[in-house]
Amino acid sequence: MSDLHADSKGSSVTPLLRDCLLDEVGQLADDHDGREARGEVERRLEFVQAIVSGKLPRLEAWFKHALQP
Amino acid sequence: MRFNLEASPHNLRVIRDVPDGSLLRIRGRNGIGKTLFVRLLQLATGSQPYLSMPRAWETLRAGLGQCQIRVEGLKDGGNLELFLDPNGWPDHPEPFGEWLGAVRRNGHPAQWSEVPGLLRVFRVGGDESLVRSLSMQIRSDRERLLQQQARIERVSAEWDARLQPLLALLDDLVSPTWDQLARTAHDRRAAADHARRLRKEAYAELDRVTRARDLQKQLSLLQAQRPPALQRIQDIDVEADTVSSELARIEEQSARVVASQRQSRQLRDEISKAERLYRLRAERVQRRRYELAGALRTVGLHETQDEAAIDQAILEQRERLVELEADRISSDRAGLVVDLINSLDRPLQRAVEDSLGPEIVADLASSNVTVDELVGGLGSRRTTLEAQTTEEARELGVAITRTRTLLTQLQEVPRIARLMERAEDDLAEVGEQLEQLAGRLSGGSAESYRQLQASRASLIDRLTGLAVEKAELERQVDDLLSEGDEDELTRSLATLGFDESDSALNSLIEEQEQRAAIASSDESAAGAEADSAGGRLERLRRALALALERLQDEDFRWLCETGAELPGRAASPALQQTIINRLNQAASSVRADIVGVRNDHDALGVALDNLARRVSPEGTHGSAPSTRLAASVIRYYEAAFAQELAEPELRSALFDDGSEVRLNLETLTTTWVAGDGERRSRPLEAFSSGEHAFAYTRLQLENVNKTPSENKVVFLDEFGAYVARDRLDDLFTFVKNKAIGVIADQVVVILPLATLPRDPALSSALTSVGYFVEAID
Repeated sequence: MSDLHADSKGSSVTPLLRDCLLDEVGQLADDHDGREARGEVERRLEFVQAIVSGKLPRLEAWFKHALQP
Repeated sequence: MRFNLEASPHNLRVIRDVPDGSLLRIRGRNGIGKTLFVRLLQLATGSQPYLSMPRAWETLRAGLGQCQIRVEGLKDGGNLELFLDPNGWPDHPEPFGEWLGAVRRNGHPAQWSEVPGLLRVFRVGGDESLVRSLSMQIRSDRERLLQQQARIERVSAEWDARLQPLLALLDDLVSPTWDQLARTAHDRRAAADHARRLRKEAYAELDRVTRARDLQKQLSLLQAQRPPALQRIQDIDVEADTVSSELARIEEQSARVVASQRQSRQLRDEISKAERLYRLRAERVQRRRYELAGALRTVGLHETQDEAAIDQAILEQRERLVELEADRISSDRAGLVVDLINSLDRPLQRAVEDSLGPEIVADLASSNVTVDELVGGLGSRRTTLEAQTTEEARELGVAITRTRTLLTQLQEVPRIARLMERAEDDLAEVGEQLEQLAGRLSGGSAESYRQLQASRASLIDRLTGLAVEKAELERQVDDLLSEGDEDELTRSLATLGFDESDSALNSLIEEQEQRAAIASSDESAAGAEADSAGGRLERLRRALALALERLQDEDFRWLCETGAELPGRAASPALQQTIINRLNQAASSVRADIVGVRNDHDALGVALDNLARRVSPEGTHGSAPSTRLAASVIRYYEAAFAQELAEPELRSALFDDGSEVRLNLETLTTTWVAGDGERRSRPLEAFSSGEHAFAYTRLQLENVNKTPSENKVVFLDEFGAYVARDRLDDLFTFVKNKAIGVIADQVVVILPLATLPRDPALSSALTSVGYFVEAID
């Protein structure tokens, strides 16, 4: 079963990470802080996803995004 | 499909061949490498069976050696050659990748990434218990998380190496900002201006009360000294008249003595001329004495001071002047510059008058300066510097001026003394001349004349002395009246708010002196704060410009690709600050993301470790520590495992076809609703392998179906329990009916060697390689 588990879910634990992080911030209120925390989680997951997908994220692109008002 | 493995016989033991056939059965001795063979096929076709077995991975890397797996009979008729080279493998088991070695497809080089889509090999274990199965999933996830962390670390380290210098450059510049410092500098300057106004007001008030006290003193002196002085002047006038009458009488007698002689007219003329000269010179001596007395009084020396005392006083004042000027150099640079500017006034004014205003007078680095511009600039600078001059500096300037004046006056005293001595010599000379002329008189006339001349000299001396005294008294009276007469002084006092009898002036002055000193100190402090704030603002201006210049360096070239706009030198500091802040904010935000990602992985790793310790094949125990993400991890696995356990095959085997199967990882129990509607519960540890293995196997074969690949091969390993329970036929029936051609293209069942084969060929194979393979119809 263990071998199949790895196969069926691919080589990434990102779904596990995503579920746990969203579960964590899901406990927060739907106010400014909560929305900001959820936004940060989405951004971090995007970073993780980029690494897991094999396309190394470029600092330049990430920085450019962070520069947006 | 047919599999063949070529490896050195000196390395790990592993079976070499599996022939073609949709359903095969392998029987063999223990320890010949059946499972290792399956795991190598898994590894080479897209799985990483060693993720949760780091020690087994180390053994494999060390003992396998280079080997080649040849796969023939793929659906498209092609073949694969998979070259595994453990020399290039990572220390820890990483997901399938190009690091495995080399691959050829149909004789041509190919990428490892092409393999899983072409062929996947799966292994289904028949010896799994429920707890072990769950535990392995958790441990496997933990291993993959570690590998993911390693990749994240590599990226974040590379990003950090570029972000840290940027943050180090910008961090000190974002707080306080240009606007804040500019506001502070403005406020401090306003406070300093206010303190200066207060200081001026305090000193103006001090001037007022001091002036009132001086007027009061003057009035008092006037009242006390003027009447006797006027009386004395009157007395001098009376005495002078008397002395003049006596002098006239003596001179008349003297003239008669001279006239009674028969001497020549020439002698008489000479005597008359010498007498007039004597009187003139006597008056001059008196004037010089008066002048010298005044000079000594001015410099504060007594009239009897000798030459050495005056020289000493000059020396002392010179030294004092040197000290004061040294003080000024260190404490009143603004005042010195003002002096310098003042000294340039006249020559520059003359240059303007000579129409030289438009001419360039200095070549500077950035521009040229004309005479007109220099005049205007110096005037503006003088105004600024004068506004910065403190009360102490002002007092220092006054002291220097006074000392210079005193020194000049002191240096004047010897000159006046010399003039007086010369006047006395001249008088003595004419006295001797008169004596000689008297000697030329005949008979007793000479002696009579001498006596009369002596009286005359005495009277002249007295008369000139009275004149000098009167002049001094008149000067004193003038001094007493210098601020006006009594009425005027009284009015002036009233104007200042006081009268002549006001006795509180001295204490008022003391109080006001203290206030003025405090105001002066406050002004100095406020001025220092204003200068400091101005300095900070200026330093920030330079730092901003320098930072923007540094951002053009090679280290920060990457910023060009971020769309960041870097302002030029000409941009205002406020704009430069805005850009710096934006860059710093972006860098901080990106870095926070990196740190956040690391922390997320760390927290998830700790939560997985804790959960794995609780749900372990060795038994379930302990309570889960409440760390970050621990609750979320439990919820995640409860949902995932419950979904797996709810599959029909497992519900049938484990939960009597019950429904609503749930797993509680806090209590490590399962619950379900039985057919009678009652909710039942059972600890995880109560589920064993063996009788339920068939259910797990069916579930896992269903999962194979979810994995896409053109060719799929499943090895059913460790199924000895099936043999023991005589359920092997059930398994083969299920595989033939439900798996072959539906789930997988080829299924190989690996079994222990229970009995020796009767077929000579199989017996021979068993003897030579330790196993044999049979096709199952």
